[in-house]
Amino acid sequence: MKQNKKEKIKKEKEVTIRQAALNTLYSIKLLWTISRRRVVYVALKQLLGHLAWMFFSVFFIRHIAESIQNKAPVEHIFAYIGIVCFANLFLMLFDSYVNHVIKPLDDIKVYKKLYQDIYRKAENVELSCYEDSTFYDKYTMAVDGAADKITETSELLFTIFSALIASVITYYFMFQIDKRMIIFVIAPILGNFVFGAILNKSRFKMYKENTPYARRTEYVNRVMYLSDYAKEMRLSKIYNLLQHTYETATENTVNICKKFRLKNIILSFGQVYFSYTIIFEGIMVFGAYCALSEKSMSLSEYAIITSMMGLASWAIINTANNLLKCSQNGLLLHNLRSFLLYEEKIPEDYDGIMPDSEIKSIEFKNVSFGYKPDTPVIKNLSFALTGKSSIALVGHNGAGKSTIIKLLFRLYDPNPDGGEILLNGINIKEYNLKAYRALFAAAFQDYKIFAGSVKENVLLGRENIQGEPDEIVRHALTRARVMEKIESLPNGIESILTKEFDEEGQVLSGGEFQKIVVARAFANPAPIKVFDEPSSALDPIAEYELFESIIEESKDNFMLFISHRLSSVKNADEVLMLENGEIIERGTHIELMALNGKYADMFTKQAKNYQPDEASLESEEVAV
Amino acid sequence: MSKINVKKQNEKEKKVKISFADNLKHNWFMIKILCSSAPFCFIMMCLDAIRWHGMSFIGGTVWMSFLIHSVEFGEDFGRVLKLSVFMFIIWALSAIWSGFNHEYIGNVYRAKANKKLRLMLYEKARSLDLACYDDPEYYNEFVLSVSESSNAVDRTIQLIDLTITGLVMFFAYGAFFLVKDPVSLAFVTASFILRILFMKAMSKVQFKAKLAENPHERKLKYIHRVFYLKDYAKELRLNKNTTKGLFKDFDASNSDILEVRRKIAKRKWGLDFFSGYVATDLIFDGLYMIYLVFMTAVRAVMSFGSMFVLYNSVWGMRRGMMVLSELLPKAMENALYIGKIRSFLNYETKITSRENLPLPSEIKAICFENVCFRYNEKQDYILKNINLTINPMDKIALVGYNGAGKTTLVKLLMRLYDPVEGRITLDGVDIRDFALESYRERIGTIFQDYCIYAATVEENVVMDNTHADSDAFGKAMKLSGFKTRLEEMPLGADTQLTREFDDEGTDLSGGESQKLATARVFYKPSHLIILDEPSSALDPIAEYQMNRSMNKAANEKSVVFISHRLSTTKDADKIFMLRKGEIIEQGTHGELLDLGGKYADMWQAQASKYV
Repeated sequence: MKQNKKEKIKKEKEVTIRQAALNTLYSIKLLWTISRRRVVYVALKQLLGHLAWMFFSVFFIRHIAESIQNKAPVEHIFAYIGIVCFANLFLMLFDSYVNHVIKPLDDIKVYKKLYQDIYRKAENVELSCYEDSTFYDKYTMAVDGAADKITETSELLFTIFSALIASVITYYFMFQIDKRMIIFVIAPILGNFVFGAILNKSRFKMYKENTPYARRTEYVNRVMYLSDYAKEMRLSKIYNLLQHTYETATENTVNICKKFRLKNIILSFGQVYFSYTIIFEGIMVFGAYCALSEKSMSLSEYAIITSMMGLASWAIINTANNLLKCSQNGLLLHNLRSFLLYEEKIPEDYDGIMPDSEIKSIEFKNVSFGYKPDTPVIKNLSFALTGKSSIALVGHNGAGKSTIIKLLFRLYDPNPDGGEILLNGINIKEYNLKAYRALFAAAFQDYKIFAGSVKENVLLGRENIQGEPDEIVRHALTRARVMEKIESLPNGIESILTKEFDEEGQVLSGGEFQKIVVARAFANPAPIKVFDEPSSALDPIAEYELFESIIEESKDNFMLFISHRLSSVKNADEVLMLENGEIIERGTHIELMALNGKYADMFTKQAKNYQPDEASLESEEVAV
Repeated sequence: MSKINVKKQNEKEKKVKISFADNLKHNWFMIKILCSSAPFCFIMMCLDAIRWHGMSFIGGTVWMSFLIHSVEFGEDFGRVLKLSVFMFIIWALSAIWSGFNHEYIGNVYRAKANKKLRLMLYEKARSLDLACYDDPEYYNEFVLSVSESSNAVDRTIQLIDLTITGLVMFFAYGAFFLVKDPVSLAFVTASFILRILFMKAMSKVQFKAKLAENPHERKLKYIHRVFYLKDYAKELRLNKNTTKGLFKDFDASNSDILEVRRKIAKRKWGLDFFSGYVATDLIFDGLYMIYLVFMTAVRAVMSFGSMFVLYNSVWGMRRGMMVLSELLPKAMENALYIGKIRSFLNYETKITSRENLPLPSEIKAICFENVCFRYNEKQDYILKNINLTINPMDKIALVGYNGAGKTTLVKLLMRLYDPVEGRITLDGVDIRDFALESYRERIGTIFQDYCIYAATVEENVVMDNTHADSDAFGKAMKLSGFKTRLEEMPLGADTQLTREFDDEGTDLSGGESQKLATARVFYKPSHLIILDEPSSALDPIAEYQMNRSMNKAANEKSVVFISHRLSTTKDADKIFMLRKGEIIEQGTHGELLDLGGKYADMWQAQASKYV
């Protein structure tokens, strides 16, 4: 049993090491396709740098020492120093050139190409990827500093490679001075790859154990300063709870530190002692022994071994650290790689037949769908809509109204065996997705305003506009009842929204932003208009007016809308009442009221408070 | 999309200078906090920095010098060995000490120092006037930067470490060279001065480049956000053309940055070469080496061992100098940051109690007397001459257009702001005279923008670090309509909400959250309840139930509520219709309808569709 487990752990580890190596190679390959120059120059820089380091540690001073001892003419020594310095000049020129010309310039190219690919991918994956938290977390991690990770990883690889070459050569010369010295190589290897590796693992474990508490302190820190929480912070005693959360988290962190204390101190002692003390002090004492007792080592050799082992052990220490960094980057690169290679389930650039711009029918046939496999949101839904009509979707919170809209937009596809959605009798999966989406103009309640002018926010980059763009924008804003406000701004429809880039940018109220979003749908000549609670932030008068416009708009269009306000639903050609993902009632307002079912109940409850008192109602009836 | 206001940005980025005295004061302030949060750890950290550099000087330079001279002059190996054993032991102790500090003390210390500083800041943050949050400049400048206070802790620890490093290295190596060969110091000083000059020129170039790159970087960051935030994903999929513009901007910004970098690349290359080669390698490997050879081979006043030791130790001396030279700018930077923390801590809260009077135990009338208010002097008045009375057990409704000032009025009532003119009284006494906390304690409020906390259901209702009174809790659950949801939860009131800490945590829907937030108000033993659009996220049925609950609760308390939905406010004892900060109509529903004014219009707009 125990052995099995051990094997399993070992296996897992092997896989990760292999993967780290693969990911490193992947990053170099990727970098190579973007900028070969950068790869070559950096590799050369690392190699030359390490060779120069080796030269100064192994040969430079040794030659001078031997020349002095052999009483060589001092001019020769000076000439030697001069030549070395002159040669070093070119090396340093090259080094600076790579660091300050090649890298900064090519990094921009790398950044540009890489993020272009990432954004294209992000744009192309289906929306559900954004809602799948594991996918999204991976994506976020992959995208953060991806360019730096790639360039860093490939440079690390060349560093490791060059350090190995330099240290092998150095060990060879140490070996030549005294064969026994090779034993001391074991110490830094032991220190870094045994003690160091276990220590890193232990530190990581400690970090992981502490993560829940770190999350708590960070949460408290966020809540304390965000303005969203500011009011409640002052009006309630929630701070006591937060303070308690913070203090307990700190206590737990301290306890975790205590728990790992002994183990980590011992490991770190092992790492430090073997990687530094044993090899540095050991070789120096051993060398002194050779020179003084055995008389087998000359003074210049003794002097040189101290700088040689400096290089030899630093090369190993650096390599150990670099390998650690490589494997850390490996995880992030893995995420990047799997993101870029992810196969979209609904590719946004899907090519298919071009839809007819005249909408004859929309049909849901036995559609089932759930965001998670076992929790269906839509169950076996069938309905057909025909011609130019206005359809209202109503129902309780969570009845599936917004989900139907998302399915219709093909932001999601129905479950694999969950039926189909047809437009003009053809499964919407058959259509060219881009052209299909272009059939819709939508305004959502969770709208986004982009940092740009009002005009840009209404047109959203649409080209081939028929007619004068400014006119279209103005007309749409007027119908959305926000033109008056926009005209009061200094630059009219050219005014910049949000303070993202411009201190003078306009920040409008929630209701006004919402109206601009509605104007987007008005300005878009698409044959199907969709409004998802377009009035949630509006006051009653504004809501009333907006719905007048929306109903007006629907005269020439196919329109779908969602609203909690049943008063706005009344004029729709057809009302679909949803409950738990199913259509339970369907018909015109009058038909549904006559049916006296759930819709009628809902309407009555809302209407009740608006009804005149019984007495006046009666009197009105009399009057009629 | 938009043109970037480069000039303005640059002006803002210019460094704010602070005086030398303030620099010291600020850093000293932080050091005091660090020291008092865990004095033992603090001393240990300082000692460890001394140990580390002391040991590398003694173990590296002095010991190496001793060994080389021993070999050079053929000392007895037995004596060398004895001293070596001693050195091995010292190194072992040093390694244990280092492990103890880095693996344990350092971690504990950071946690404790952060706790101390943060709790101090939190205490202040919660008593800060709400107005500070409205002022984006103050908010960005202070509140946001203070939220990253752990950086200040880390930076200050680093600064202390650097100070000790610099001092130890400078004095140790300085003494060493003075004894061994004072002339060497001239080489070190020359290299040091040259390097500082080149580095200064370099950072100037880099700073200028950064300023030029900034607006483009900002643009790139924005594009990055649009592509990776969930919020935009839907919009981008439905409006394909939006991304065209973004990609165009992305290309342009990258080309602009490339252009900036290309312009300075040669200068940077040159400067780096001068500081790396001329000021360093050429001086040490070339000139200094020639000097050493000259002293050893020509003048023969220096032993070979000394030559070797000096050549190898000269770096230590320069490093000490470099560290010391970087101290002041680093301290300045740190001080700038700590200065913000200090002025945050020194901020004088304006909304405080004048007299600290105790509150009447009975429910009393609250009056607004000619209240005027604006957020700041540049703005127009948001509330003008408001007069209204909330009698005990009254049910008051505030209705009106968006931006009419309804929510602001409530904020004044809660003393989140004080009136600019006029006053608000409770039982005839200005509310500014009552003890602030107990005054607020008497009022239960739910705003539109309530928050759900990462805590249990119970804690989210009680909003304190205590257990709930079970009767009151049950009643609040029932009244708010959250009870049915609560019964579905296996852990009941102990269910952890949000996935902030717990991946198994429960996320509530908008409607459920609103019900839970409303339960807070029902739970709190208050005299007055304020409900700001309590039903905005509810469907019609839930809204209907909520209205009934509120009517029930109102029997024992005064209630103020704000709603767009006039159906909710219809039964109020008195309705106040606000428009542009003024009360334009008031009365009961019937009276206002009879009046035939704005309220009647609004009612008509909503009700007509239902009739």
